Amino acid sequence: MLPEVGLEGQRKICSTSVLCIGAGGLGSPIAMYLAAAGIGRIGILDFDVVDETNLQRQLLHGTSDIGRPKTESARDTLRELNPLVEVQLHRERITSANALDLIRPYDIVVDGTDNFPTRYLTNDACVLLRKPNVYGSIFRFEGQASVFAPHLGGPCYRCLYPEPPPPGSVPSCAEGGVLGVLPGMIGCIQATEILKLAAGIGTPLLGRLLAYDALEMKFRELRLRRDPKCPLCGEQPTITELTDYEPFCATPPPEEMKNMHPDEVSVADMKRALDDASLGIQVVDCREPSEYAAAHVPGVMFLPLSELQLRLDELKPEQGYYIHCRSGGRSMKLVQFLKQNGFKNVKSVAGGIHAWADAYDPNMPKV
Amino acid sequence: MIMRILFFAQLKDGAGCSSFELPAPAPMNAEQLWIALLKQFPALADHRPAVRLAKNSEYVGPEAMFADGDEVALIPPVSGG
Repeated sequence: MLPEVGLEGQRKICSTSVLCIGAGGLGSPIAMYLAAAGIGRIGILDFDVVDETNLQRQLLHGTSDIGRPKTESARDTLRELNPLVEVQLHRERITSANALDLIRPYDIVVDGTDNFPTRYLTNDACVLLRKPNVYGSIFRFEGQASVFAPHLGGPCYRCLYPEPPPPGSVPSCAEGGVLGVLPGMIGCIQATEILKLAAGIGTPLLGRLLAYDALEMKFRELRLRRDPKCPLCGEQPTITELTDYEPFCATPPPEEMKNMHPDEVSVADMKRALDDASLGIQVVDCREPSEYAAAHVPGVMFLPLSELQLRLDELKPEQGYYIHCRSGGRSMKLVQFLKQNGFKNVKSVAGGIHAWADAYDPNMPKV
Repeated sequence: MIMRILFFAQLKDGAGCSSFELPAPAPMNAEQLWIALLKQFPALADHRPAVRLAKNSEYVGPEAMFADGDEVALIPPVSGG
């Protein structure tokens, strides 16, 4: 027993409830350490199923869990670690309609999601409900963590970035790759902050953003003040209720593949376009160079999303395009961007190159 | 008379480096800083709307002034998890 925590601190930890939004790279170490520490109740919110490509960083899940809902896999791992912890499963997407009801029964929320729409929704709901939002985010070799809590005197996520970035300006799906151990580092920082908040010890990461660079092995602390002009927690807030942002990064679960979005085509359509040039449809791979190098479909045009702004003139608004990425998130985002820019016949390939591999090329490496 | 510029996350791709020394003959505001940066790194233009600036390890707003000896970090939002 640590004297700084003591019996009283441990009691507080045991009576604290935490909602973990996302059971992926960040959610894994967060949930596992919280369970091991004997947190009272932990909610796991995730819509997805376990995919083989998750296992390099999502330690809640193992090879035998592939295809299972992440919530169920997470529950089994946490029960094994500590059967005394109450685990509640929320296998659903968080939306403006359910966010307040999902978050209200918990003391602390931890943001372990992988997309901007959910981050903004989580932040907004936490500010409205006066719940601490323990934030973490990663990109390749870099990560950030902070505690957002205007009701405790700190800033919120919108004090940092008031609005979600415009589509096309940020690679909002970090599918390009993440060093597997990176979410372990950031998630452990988030778990530490939660335990401190729960036990009421130490100095929270409030008004400070910790930026970590694994390649340099450096931490930087950036001071962040509450913005009086913040649209959410400022003096004259303009955001007083929840709104949904287009879920560009949502990976469609298998059962949803049957109900494709009007802007989507199937991998069979993509094959027809590749096999029959007379259809006049160009197939475009919008993934990043490292992904393309690992595996690609012959005959596609390669145009990484990161080079889009420089190479936009290579795409013709009157030409038909089927665009694919890894699993259908980024390509859908690109389709929406091109449609806003006057392209008439652009479609996103549902399920991306993973669905292609499943249908036509089972030996293709899934990266 | 220089400022040290640090690029975070995807800005490293846009800039092609992780840090850079920008000549700073006189103090400049955020707009002037961006003009100088974009002359050197035109690919950063697409990122600008989403990027926040931090001066000497503190996030700053659009009214900030930057001068010789300052360390300026360009920090884009990242969303991976």
